Amino acid sequence: MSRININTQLFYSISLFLILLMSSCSKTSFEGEIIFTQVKGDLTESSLKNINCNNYFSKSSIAAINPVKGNESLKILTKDFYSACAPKISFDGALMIFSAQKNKGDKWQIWQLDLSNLKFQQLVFSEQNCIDPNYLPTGQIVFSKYVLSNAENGGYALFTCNFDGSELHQITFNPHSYFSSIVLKDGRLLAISKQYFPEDKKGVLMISRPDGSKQDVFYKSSNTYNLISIGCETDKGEILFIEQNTSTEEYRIVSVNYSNPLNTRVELSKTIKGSFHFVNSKNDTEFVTSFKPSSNDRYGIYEYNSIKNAIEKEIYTNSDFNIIDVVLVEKRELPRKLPSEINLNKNTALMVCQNANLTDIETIENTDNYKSNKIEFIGIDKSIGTINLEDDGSFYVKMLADVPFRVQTLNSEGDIVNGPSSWIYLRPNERRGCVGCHENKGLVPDNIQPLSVRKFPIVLPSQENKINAKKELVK
Amino acid sequence: MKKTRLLILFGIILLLVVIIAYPGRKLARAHVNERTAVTDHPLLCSSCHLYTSQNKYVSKFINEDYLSPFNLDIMNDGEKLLVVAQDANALLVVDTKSKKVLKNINVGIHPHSVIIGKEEKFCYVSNQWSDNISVIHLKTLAVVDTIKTGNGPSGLSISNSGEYLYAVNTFGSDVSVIDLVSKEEIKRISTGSDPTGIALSPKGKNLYVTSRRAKIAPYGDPLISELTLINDNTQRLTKQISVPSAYLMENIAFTPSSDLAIMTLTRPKNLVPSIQVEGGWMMTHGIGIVEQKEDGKIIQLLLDEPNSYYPNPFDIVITPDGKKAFVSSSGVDYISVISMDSIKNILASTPAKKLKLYANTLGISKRFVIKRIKTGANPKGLKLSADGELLYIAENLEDKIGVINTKTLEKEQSIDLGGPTRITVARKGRRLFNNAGHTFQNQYACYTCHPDNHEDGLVYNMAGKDMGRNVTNTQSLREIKGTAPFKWNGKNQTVYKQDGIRFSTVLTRTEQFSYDDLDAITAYIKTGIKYPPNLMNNPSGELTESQYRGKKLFNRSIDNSGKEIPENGRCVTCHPAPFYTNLQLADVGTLSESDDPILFDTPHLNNIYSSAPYLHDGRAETLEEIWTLYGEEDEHGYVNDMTKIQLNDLVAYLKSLRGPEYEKSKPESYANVHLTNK
Amino acid sequence: MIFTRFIKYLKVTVLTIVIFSICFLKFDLNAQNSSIPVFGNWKNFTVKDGLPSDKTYCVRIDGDRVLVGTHDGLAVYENNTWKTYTSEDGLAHNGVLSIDVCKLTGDVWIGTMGGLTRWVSGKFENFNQFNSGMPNDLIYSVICDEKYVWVATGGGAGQYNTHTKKWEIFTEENAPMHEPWTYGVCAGDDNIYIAAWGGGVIEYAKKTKKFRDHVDPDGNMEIDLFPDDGVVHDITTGTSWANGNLWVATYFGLSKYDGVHWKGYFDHDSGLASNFINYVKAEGSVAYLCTDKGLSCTDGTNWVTYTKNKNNVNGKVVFTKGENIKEITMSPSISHNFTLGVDIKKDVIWVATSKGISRGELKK
Repeated sequence: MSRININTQLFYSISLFLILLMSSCSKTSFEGEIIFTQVKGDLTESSLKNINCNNYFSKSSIAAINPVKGNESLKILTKDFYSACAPKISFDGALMIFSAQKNKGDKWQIWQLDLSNLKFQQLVFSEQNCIDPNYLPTGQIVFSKYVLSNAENGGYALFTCNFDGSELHQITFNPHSYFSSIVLKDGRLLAISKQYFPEDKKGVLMISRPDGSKQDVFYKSSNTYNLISIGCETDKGEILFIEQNTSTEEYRIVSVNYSNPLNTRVELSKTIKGSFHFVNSKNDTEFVTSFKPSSNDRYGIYEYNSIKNAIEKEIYTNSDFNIIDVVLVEKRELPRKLPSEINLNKNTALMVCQNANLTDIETIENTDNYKSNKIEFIGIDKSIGTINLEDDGSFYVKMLADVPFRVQTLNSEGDIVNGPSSWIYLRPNERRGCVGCHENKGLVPDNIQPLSVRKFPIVLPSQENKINAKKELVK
Repeated sequence: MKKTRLLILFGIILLLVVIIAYPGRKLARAHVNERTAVTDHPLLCSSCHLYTSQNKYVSKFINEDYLSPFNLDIMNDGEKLLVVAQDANALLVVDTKSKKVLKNINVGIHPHSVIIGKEEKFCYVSNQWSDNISVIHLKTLAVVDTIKTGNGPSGLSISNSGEYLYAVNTFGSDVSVIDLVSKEEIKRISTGSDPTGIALSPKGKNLYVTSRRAKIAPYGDPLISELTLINDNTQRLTKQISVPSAYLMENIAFTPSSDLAIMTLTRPKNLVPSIQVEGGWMMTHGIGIVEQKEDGKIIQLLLDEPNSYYPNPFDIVITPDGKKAFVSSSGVDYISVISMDSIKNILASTPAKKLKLYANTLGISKRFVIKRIKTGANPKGLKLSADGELLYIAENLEDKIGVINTKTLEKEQSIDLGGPTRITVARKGRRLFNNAGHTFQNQYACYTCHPDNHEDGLVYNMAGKDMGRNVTNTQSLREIKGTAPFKWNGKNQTVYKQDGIRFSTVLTRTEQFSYDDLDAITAYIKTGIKYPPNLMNNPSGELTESQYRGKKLFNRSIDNSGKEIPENGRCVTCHPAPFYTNLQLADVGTLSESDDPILFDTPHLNNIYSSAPYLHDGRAETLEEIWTLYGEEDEHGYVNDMTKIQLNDLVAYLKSLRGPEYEKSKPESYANVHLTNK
Repeated sequence: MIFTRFIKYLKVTVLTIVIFSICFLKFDLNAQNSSIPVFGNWKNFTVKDGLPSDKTYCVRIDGDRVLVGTHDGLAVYENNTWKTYTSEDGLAHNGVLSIDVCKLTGDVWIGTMGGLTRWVSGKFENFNQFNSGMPNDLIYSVICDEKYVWVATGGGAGQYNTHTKKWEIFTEENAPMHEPWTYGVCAGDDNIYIAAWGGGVIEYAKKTKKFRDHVDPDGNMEIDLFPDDGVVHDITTGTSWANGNLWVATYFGLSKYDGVHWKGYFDHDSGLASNFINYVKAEGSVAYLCTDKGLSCTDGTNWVTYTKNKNNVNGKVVFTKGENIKEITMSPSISHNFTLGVDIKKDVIWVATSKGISRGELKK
């Protein structure tokens, strides 16, 4: 018996060794390399309209370089594509996802390159442009796709799907364009979000769960800055991105701390002459950037040290090309896989607000004129309904899911007290809580049971509104 | 013939292999799927049948005896550190220079705190589970006396005169005043509920006692915990100060100038529908600053940041120069370093209304927390050297004492107390239980709602379907092995399911436990949770006359008028020993309008004395109320024929119930024999 | 002219002083002989002065403050002002019938018509028959005895252990009571004495936890047939113990028990204002008796009784010793003759009456 055991063990050991050997053979040869997008000539207008994103250029291509070996190691990865950009590496370092136009005039689609065998696979087939893809820890991908909306203009909403393109779901529904999405270590999606209806607004960093629920503002640039691109989250929890100083036209690396992003902005490259277009981190202090030392230069790949606040070394430059983004081929810690409460079989969601009269700092309570007792829900093109606030200022509603709305508080005369708010949408079966209107972002709910939740939720749109809507439809 | 036999034998073996390999595996898969409520849990028998085994030999093999340092004190010269090793029932004397344990002194059961007396002749250790104080001579390092206290002594303080010892009785909710000459308790002063922390102002006179549980109140009423102020001179209660919206006020410390006292606290959101974690919708954590001036307020400031929480703040110490305070955030293994000047600036420059708002504002900590320093697992008690230069941290689940230089704010080499180096599965589970890392943004740990592996006395709106509906009373985790199904609706047949995917979807709202972690936390919950003996109600297992009468009522089948009580009206039908639950769902007439129409899991009654409030929604503040206010229709047991004395007897019996292990080989008690003979 | 007028005033003043001196000399002599302190300089407080109600049921002096139980809440007299606490503040019920203060902890225990309240440092903690093992919500009497709090209630007597937080209750089921109605309770000489309606006095030995009842041996409900054979009547309203003597109040007279002998006192054979005694409080060798016809004080031999005239605020003090009776007019006197509670501390006495509360000072 013991002999049999020994033989069996030997067999398993050899098998395991062979498997390990084989798996090590199939390991990506790109590990430790930098993958980037290069664009020939000057950076002029983005090839995409209505996105205000500087990363989409015709004839762009994705290349890889070994930072140790230098220029000889340069490999163009997307020779067969008319344009290709926005590469992102999977968490295991084996795959690259990107957006590309296979042929001139094609819509941008989402593609994936297996770095071990350099085989391409189109993941998304769409009649609209699909851009800025990224990997989710759940084995899905997220990307921005152009959608037509009820609003005057369409925009780029966030979508998720499986690698085979199945389970394609739109996850953002407000009249905002989203791009440059990354996944934070806590498992949430961070993206630049720009309102395009009823008027264009500056981009903000918007955070949500990967199912689009619990969306909220993560960071807002001050008046003189514009968000350009999001880089990554460092091991220490610093979120790196590029902001454009609108007065100097310079592009700067900025970091905010994950824990308190609204109050921890640091402009890292303030004293460095030149401009940054993209940033990615090697570690907590060394960043690989797309940088140009002067306006006469083109963007190249440089290493920036945040402690020294200095460009440490030039990794790759090419006088013919601008490098517009950079990613490192490496294994990364898998972000948290967040569970989802979304149920796509439902078409409603719940929302509670503890006190709609609670604004940024204090409750408006001195003058009746400033104290609201109603709240109106406004859709893209019409009012969804107006309801009374409870005595404690709370409300509790059941809304149609995936429908954007804004709210404004009204006094007894129907005058607007506060609002309208930013766009909100709720995912099917989502339950959302707000402390107040235009609340201080750091404000948590007081431990009080809102009067409104002692009753069943008010359904919006009301039955009356629904009937009117049907009548209009019949007309 | 021989060949045939061999063939038959081979055939049998083959058949067995086939059975084991196919139907056996299939059966095992089905079994594991049923237990775990998932289809991909590894088929490891050890997960359930080894790690949760209570066989003493197996248990000894797979477990270790850890030390679990909890609190500590230091001699004035800074050379000796006295460390309470809670799980070892010992006081460890540690040389701070050599970083070696000099002596291991056996004390009472589950010691909580240690304090060095004036003149450093003696030190005193509160033995929380044996209701006494060990008096240790500091020269001989021997226990020289034991002083009786109230129930569950924890925090300790010495009077300004040095003549009296104050021992906070956690389970009795009072303070024993002990004369250190006669070594006798001279009086007890009532406090808030479940007190632990105690601190005497540097100038004497004011003694604060913090409470951990909020006052029991009907659901919807404001949450209030009490801070008790005692006059050290008169030894009388001066004031019960209401601390709104806070509980788990573990410890308190004075500034050297006595202008402020600062306590650790947690601000739960049990009245708010549990619909999200984002934005501090479940728990926040911070400090309460008690101004000592005339008409001084209590200002609460959060240690949390908008996306990072610092749960379960336990201890606080303030440097002798009054410049820095250190808080052990035991749920995330961090020390938060606080600038006291910044705190004072905030107090001085902020209008009162805005200060009130700060209690609910994440990120205010940026204005006063100057550093967060990582520690070993589960930092609890803190102690500064007399000169304030070194901070010692009792790393409860690391079996080490962390050391921080308070000037550089850098960690120095820890002191290894010599506990087992192997981390067992149950120990890993205990670390997970106490750590908030498995909750979205580290907002809370299992410990937060289940402090001491028990329950927090709060009723939460878990908002199962609609918000505001289905409020549920937190249940104790003590001795729940064998009491499945779990949850008030009895939907979880195992701890695996209870802590599985739905748990992460609706409660922790982050990635679910890995199966290794789930095995570990299940092992801890089912085998590793220790709980205090029921010394208040049943110290020896011998029932009092009243309890014995209560037992007869509990088991009765005939009412006072001689009529037979229907079987479903007898206590014992639904609550049979040893767990005092039949593990079935029942309707006891307690469904309210805000409940969905469901049956409720029959709860176990072991150690029920310490689990107020009662019923699924916590509506009964005491056991009596279950029947006086909510049992009018005799739906929850046939009780309305009982006299008040009988009801008191029944309650006395229920309060006497201890853990199920006592039920297995229960000796005939003295009272049993005598009363039966009568 | 001025001089003559001055002489005239001087004569009047001297005469007045002499008369008062003689009176008070007699007064003092009586008092000294009987060791019963005599109080005067009465000051009465009613709703007009800040009391929540004129119906006052009980009074307890607690250091520098006085706690008064009224029909409409607890009134606290401190720094010459009254402050009222009601059920809105957390009191179990507004009808406050009994108050005691724990000597050890300073906790105030308040017996009300709707439960028992522990009042400590401004916080109210309530016990009632629904939320605790307390026998009944109608608390006629509450006393603190070391770590125990005893109550006499409409549903039996109860003992609360403040350390273990447990109630033990005593009714006709487990004690020699005629019915569960109990009116008074006091502690003394290792015993607890419970005044049980229709059951005389129930003596509970703290050490042995055994009961012994003291009932009227003649059992007659109309008169005390055989004097000094036991407690004068089975319907008892209060007990108080001091200096080795148990004083028992009934609606039919007063009893004193020295542990061996019983002695009965009635309005017809002593200085007792009335046989209808609402409350008794023993302090040293003196028992203070709140009756429907005034306040009587006795050491068993001498009697001092305070009454009020029907039609004005004045009244009198009556000194009785055997056949010897002396009366002195007082202006003002106590607030009302229907007295329900009394407390004495050093040189001050407070008397709760059905129409206000009275404060008297020791006459020296």
